[in-house]
Amino acid sequence: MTTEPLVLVVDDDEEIRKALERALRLEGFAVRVADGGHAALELVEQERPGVMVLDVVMPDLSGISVVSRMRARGDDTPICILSARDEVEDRVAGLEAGADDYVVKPFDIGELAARLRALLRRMPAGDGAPIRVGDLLVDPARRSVQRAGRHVQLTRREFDLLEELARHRNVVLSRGQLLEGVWGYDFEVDGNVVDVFVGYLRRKLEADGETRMIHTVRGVGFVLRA
Amino acid sequence: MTAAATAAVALVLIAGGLLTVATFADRERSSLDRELERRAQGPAGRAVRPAPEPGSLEVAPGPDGPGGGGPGPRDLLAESGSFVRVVSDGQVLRAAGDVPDEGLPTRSDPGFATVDAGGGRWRILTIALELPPGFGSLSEPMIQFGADAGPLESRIDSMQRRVALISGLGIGLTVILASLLAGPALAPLSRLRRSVAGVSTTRDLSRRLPEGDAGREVDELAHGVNEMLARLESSSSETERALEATRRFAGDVGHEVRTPLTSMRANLDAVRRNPSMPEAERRAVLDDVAREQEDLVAVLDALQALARGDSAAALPREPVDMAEVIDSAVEAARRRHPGAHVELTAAEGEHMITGWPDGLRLLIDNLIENAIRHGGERVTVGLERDHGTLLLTVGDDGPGVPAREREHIFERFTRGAQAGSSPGSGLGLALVAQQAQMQGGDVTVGDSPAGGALFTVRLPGA
Repeated sequence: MTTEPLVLVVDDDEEIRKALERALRLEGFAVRVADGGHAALELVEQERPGVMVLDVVMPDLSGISVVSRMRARGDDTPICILSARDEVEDRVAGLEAGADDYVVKPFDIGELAARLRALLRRMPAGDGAPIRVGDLLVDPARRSVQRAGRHVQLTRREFDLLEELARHRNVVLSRGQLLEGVWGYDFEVDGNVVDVFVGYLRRKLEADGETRMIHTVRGVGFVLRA
Repeated sequence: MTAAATAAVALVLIAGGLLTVATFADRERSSLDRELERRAQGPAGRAVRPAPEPGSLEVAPGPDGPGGGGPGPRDLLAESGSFVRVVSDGQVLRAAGDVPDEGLPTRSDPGFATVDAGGGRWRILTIALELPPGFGSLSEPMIQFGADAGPLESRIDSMQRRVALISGLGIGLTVILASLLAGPALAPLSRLRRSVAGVSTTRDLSRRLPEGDAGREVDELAHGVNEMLARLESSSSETERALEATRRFAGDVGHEVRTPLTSMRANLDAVRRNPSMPEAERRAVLDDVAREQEDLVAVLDALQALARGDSAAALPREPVDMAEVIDSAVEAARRRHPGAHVELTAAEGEHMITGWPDGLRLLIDNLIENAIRHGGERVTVGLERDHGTLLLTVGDDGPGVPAREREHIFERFTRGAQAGSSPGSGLGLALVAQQAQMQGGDVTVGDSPAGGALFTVRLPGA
């Protein structure tokens, strides 16, 4: 009986598939591999992986399209995107489409494994009581958000980040605290995924020209204020 | 242009009007002057006679005067607005007619003069009286004939007003006509101007000016501008293409290097993080790392060879026996790939060309390597002479190159769909094409008799 969490690795390069399959297996994951976007969508349906490692640039179907299609059919399997350092736009598009995190190639296997393990741990469901901050209403039970009566559509990770900020309203949270509270990363990570998601939240919460609610406290972190 | 034409017409109208008014006024004034002269010579003038007594002057009495016999000055000057006076030394001796109340000078030089008096304007003809000897105790006796110039001035004024009105109307009409007529005449130029402005604001060099719907001169101008735009467009799109190719190439190099680095890192981490890994697996991981490292070196070698090729055009060329180069390359390939069958069929004798020996060897090596990696089991290398041209062929019995991929297969980092992720830098055939071009030849791909791919390099002979 296998109890190892299942990781689906999607990359069009055979060497990378082979290396990741072996390295992640040695880290204690069960690993399936797909060599393209279409194969990935099929395998997700069949194998129901707990987490996915997804290359962005693939010839048949891009990683961004894979994320969009999965989210569109209600599949919220955590997804970590693989991208090159100069593929910023692709990475941003992938996260906006609903991916949860990204790593830049080449990456440290230990860090990727730690991230995947954290993404596999489901956040406990909210206590159900809606949180009101000014004209912002965050409802953890229904996972819905309203700003001044306007419904705001958020991806899962965006919602988790906003909920964390709302629960600690008027308290400045560091990037490390947010990474731990929202992503479950209790270790040092590379990259600025918090900043990227704060950017998305601000854009969606201020889409109608509303005032800024998520403020940057330089050198410390972020705070949600009415 | 419209404004200039209007200004010219206005100038002509104004000058003509002024001339007309001046001529009219001149004629009117001279006719009044002639009238005054006529009177001076007429009865009124003659009516002034030296008196019988010496030293005095008698003016013939008017009807109201004593005596009678003949018309007096008042009758003669009965027309309103005229008078006659006799003055001497500032004293008015006699006056008759419609003399203005005040302001009329009692001294005036002989001849015509215009004076303002009694609230009106008067024209005066002054004649010095020449008294016969013995008459003369009178000092400077003068006779002044005057006529009211008012009606004349008002006629001139009304003439001026009419001329001004006509000129004004003329100018207005000119403006209207000019804009009506010049509009259509200038419209093609306006369109041209707008089109040119469109090109410069949008910076879109693919735009062209309309031709053939305006006059010949305008069309020729538009044609000239269009030719210039076409030259600009082609030179800027060449630059754009070169820049785009460079950007794409830099991105491709990044991807080609990053991919093996990523799998190498994953493999190295796997070994590092798992000290108790089974020996067989450890060996497999290290073999993979070594192969990935070789791939990276191959990419770097090919990149450097391409860069060298780009600068090799300046190197001195020398006579090269292609048969010898090919023989050596085939031998080397057999040693590298003991399992592969590489056959050589070359026509007898030397096959000299003038070229760059290292580049020619690179070309053949890459063709053979490509055939062994992506072809089947048998590779055939042929060399023959077709008139002055050397034909170098490398065929295999593999899957071949689909027709739709043939055009792109010589581009850098292009891999056929069949090749998938099979080994190779993706630069080998790009190197072949570069070298063939540098030697003044070309390379094409077709079907081999064995059903695989057949690459044919044509090189101009010595």
